[in-house]
Amino acid sequence: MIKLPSPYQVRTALRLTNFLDRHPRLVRNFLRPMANAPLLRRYLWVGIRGFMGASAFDCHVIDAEEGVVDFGGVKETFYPSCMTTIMWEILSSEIGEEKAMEMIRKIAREAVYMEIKFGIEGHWFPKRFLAFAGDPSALDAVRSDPDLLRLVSKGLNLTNRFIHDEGGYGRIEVDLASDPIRVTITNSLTARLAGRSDRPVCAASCGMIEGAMSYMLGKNFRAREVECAAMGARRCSFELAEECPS
Amino acid sequence: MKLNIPQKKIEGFLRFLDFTRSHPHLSRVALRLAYKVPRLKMALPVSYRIYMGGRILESYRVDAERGEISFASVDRQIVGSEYLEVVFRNLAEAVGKEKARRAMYDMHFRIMKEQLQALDLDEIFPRFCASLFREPVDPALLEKNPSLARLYGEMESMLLRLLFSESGWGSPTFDTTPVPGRVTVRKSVESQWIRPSEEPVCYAMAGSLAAFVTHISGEKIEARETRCAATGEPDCTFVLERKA
Repeated sequence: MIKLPSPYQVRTALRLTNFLDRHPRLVRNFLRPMANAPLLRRYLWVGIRGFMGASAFDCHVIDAEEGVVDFGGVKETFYPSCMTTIMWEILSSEIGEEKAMEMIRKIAREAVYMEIKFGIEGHWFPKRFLAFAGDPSALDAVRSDPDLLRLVSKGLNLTNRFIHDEGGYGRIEVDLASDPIRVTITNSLTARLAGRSDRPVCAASCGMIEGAMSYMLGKNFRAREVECAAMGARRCSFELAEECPS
Repeated sequence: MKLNIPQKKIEGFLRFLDFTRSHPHLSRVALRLAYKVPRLKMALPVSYRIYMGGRILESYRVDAERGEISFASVDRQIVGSEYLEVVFRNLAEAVGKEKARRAMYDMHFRIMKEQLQALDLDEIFPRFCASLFREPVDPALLEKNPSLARLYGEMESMLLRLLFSESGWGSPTFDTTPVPGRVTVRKSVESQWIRPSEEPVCYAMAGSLAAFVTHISGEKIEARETRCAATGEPDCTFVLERKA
C-alpha cells in the first residue's frame, strides 16, 4: 500500500507554499534571513529552507579542515565545467564515441540515482511527504490527486533548482502531468560546451533525468532527447518513458 | 619569476594575517561584520574575505535563472561525491582496472591544468600577490627573502584550500613549500567512496595534485600514492617526482 500524505497535510502545505509564492518580498526580506539564521539553519530541512527563499549555496556546509562539502546529508564535490569536455574526449578515445555517449549516460544515471537516494534518506524534505518515493505506483497516485500533483511538482521544481540549476547544469523544468513526462533544459551545460552538432549531445542530462525519476517513481525510465540546443533548438527537450525490460 | 612587490606590502599583509590568527574572535565578529558591507564585499578578493571569516560559497557567481555557477571566472558544476566511484567503476568494467586508473589520472590532470590556466587570480588574491602564481615559482628568490617565502606559502595554502578542501576533494597539506616532495591528504574523496581496498585508489587526486605542482613549479611532475585511507590508513600520502 503506497504511503501518501493525508489530504489535510497536502492542502495545508500547498496553501503555505502558494502564500509564499504570492509574497516574494516577505520571503526575501524576512524568511530568507530566518532560514539562514545560525541556529535555525542547523535544524530546518533544506527543502523547507528553500521554500523560505534560501539558495542551494546558503544550504551547503563546508568543513575546510576535512575538505568535505555537505548538502542536507549528501556529500558533494565541485568541478570546473571543462570536466564535461575532457571526460568526453578521454572516454571517446578509450572506447569510441558511441560507447562513450552510452557510458556518460550510465554514469550520470547511477550517480544521480544515488544522490537523490542519499538526499531523501538524509535531510532534504520531511519524510512524511516523501514516503511514496520509490513506490512503482507513485506516479499514478500523484497524478490522480490534483493537489498532490501540484505539491509534488513544487517540491520537484525546488529540488531541481537546488541540484540542477544551482549545480551549473542549466535551467530545468519538469512536467509531471504530461504523458510521457516532459523535461526541458534551457542553457544546458553539455549543449553549451559542445557547440554545433548534427545530433543530440545531452547524454549526461538524459542520465541525470533517468536517475532522479527512476528513484523517485520506483520504475526504470529511459529519457529521449527530442530537441537539442546544440542542433539549433531554443532549448533541449526530453521525453521520459518507462523502460521496457529487455 | 620576476617580482616587484614592495617589501612594505608583503610585511603589511603578513601582519594582517597574524592579527586575524591571534584575534580569532575579534576577526570573526568585527571583520566579518565589516566584510558584510556590500560594496566592500564586492571589492575584496576572495582570500581577504576568507581571512575575514567569510565563506567561499559567498564568492561564487550564481545565476539560477540560467543555471550557471562560476568561481574566479571559471564555470563550475557540482556532482555528488559518489560520482568518482561511479566513473571509475564503469570505466574499469569497460577497459580494465589498469587503463581506468591511467584514464582517471590523465583526466584529472587535464581538468586541474585547465582550471589553473583559466582562474582569474586577481579575484582570488590581493593584486600584488596574484603575480606570484602567474609564472612558475623561483625557489632561489624565496630563499633570499623569508617574508616573501612566507607570503608565498600562505597564498599557496589558500589556493589549495579553495581548489581542494572547500571544493569537497579532501584536505591536502604540503610537506614543504613552494614545491612539495610529499603531500598528505585527509579524507581524499576517492578513498571515502572506493573502499575497502587492498591497494591505493586515489588516481584522480594524484592527477590533480600533479597538475597543481606542475603549474607552480613549471616542471613536469608526476604524483604517486604510497599510502591510502581506503586500505585502512588514517590518511593518504602522495610522493611527487620530476618526470623523467
